Amino acid sequence: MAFIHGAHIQIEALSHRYRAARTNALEDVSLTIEPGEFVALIGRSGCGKSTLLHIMAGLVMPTRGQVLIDGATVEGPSPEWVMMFQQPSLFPWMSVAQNVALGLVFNRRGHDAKRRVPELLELVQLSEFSDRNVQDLSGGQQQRVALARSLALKPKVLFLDEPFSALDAFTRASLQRDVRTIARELGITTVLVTHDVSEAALMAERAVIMTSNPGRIRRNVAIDRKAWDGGDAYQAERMSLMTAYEDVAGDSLQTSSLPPAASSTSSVIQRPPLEKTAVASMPVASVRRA
Amino acid sequence: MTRLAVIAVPPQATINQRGADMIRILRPLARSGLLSAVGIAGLFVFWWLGGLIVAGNPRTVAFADFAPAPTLARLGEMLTSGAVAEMSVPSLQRVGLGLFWAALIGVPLGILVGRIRTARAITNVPFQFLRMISPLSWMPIAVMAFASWDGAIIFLIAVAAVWPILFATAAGVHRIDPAWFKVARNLGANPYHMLTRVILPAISQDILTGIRLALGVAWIVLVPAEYLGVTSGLGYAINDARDTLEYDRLAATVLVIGVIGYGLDAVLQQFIKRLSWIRQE
Repeated sequence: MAFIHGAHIQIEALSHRYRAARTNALEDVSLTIEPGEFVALIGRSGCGKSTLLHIMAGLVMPTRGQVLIDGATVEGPSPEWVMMFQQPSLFPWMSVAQNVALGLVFNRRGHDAKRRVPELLELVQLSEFSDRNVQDLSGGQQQRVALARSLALKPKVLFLDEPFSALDAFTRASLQRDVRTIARELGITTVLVTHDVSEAALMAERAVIMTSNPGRIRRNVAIDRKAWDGGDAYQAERMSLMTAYEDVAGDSLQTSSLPPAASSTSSVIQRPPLEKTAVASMPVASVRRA
Repeated sequence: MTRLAVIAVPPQATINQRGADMIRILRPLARSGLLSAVGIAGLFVFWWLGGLIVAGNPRTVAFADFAPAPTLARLGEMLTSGAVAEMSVPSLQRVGLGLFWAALIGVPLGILVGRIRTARAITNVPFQFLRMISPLSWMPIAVMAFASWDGAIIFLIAVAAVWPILFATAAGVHRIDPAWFKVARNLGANPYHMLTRVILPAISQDILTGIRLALGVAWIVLVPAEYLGVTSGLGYAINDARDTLEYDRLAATVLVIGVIGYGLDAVLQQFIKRLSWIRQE
């Protein structure tokens, strides 16, 4: 796959209130994301991170303010920016290849499918499943198909709405690594919504911490890319991100992810004081395929 | 190589396993086949006893030809002479056309009602009201409105068949996972794509189930509708046999109606099974 030039995202004084809601889901949110950057929006449920993502993707129109992608106001969905959802939501009456080709068909580029689909399936390591019905696939494999489907249109921005949260720990770890690698290699600007600090530390270059009632951006935390390889750097970044979050929100986020890579087998995970989910006892293995 | 090895030395265990599998699959099939045969035989015994009673009573002996033996003999004659085909084809055409119009109206309306809440709210009362009116009560109006008897009969069948199709379609659309619409919209689907790539495949089974129900209703409405005016079809054949006092022919026609109806339903059921994308483990 060719290198894609990621888009620049500019969020300007965005506010949003759902009908019949008392407070703003988002209040005066401004944020700039550089081309090719991988940003994680973190915060607890109800902080508006998912709403912000939907507005950025043009799936929800904001009450006030605007989102500019490469200088143009977002007014709806576009093949230039696509979203991966929590559920893969593949179409069960289609094969893997047909699902992947869907975006191309919708944008009158169905003739490209023959060439592009095998490329994409190779990218997500599902080449041999091309003609299978998607119902035969595991959850992780389905999410990989959804990733390939999202990438088919060569988007400049990839929005990830907690796409790993419904997966088991091993599948999640391998998908997190692969999505990060693919986004990096293709140069796509990526925005990840997650409530999982570990996931943010593992995948993003910057974490944007949000709080609720009303939804606001409270802090930007840069993440050292060394954290991506796991080990001590990852632990350190995760801890500092956790501390930053606790500073802002006064409470801890959930951390449930596996240690990132097989190389970190020796590291004993130190649990931060307020961490809720036990992860130390989890075995670490290299799981390439979901 | 592996394949050769398997062919060359079939392990006994595999054969036994395969045999056991076959038995496991065949046993319930054989059982249900046997039970069906018992049911059919029961029906025949009932019919036969009825025939004996009718023949034994001096007041009803004129109707003795209703019994299985004369009926089946007459049915054989009607099959070889082509009479069965002759009376079935016009009826099948009418039912087919009636269902065609019912689907042409019912499916789009069903999609509209299933997809748009306002449309559902507006149409709910009128549709439920119209649905409860016996299709046959439209007969005088149909006869006046249509130039031909055929047209009137097809109209009556369509009026009966449109409701199951419409409601099954609407229910199917209503059940579609909203995430599918979100995904499709996100990937740039226009309303046409939404219809052809998402809605129609998602509800194909619901539409066919509606058509199957509609067929049942249409087949029931057909016979009384054909009592009127026309000089062909199964309903006409029943009336005609009654008028000429050929009770064996009448009973044979009833048998033909039942067998064709059952056959059509079975075909549709198979079709639904074939088309289903829902995995049945």
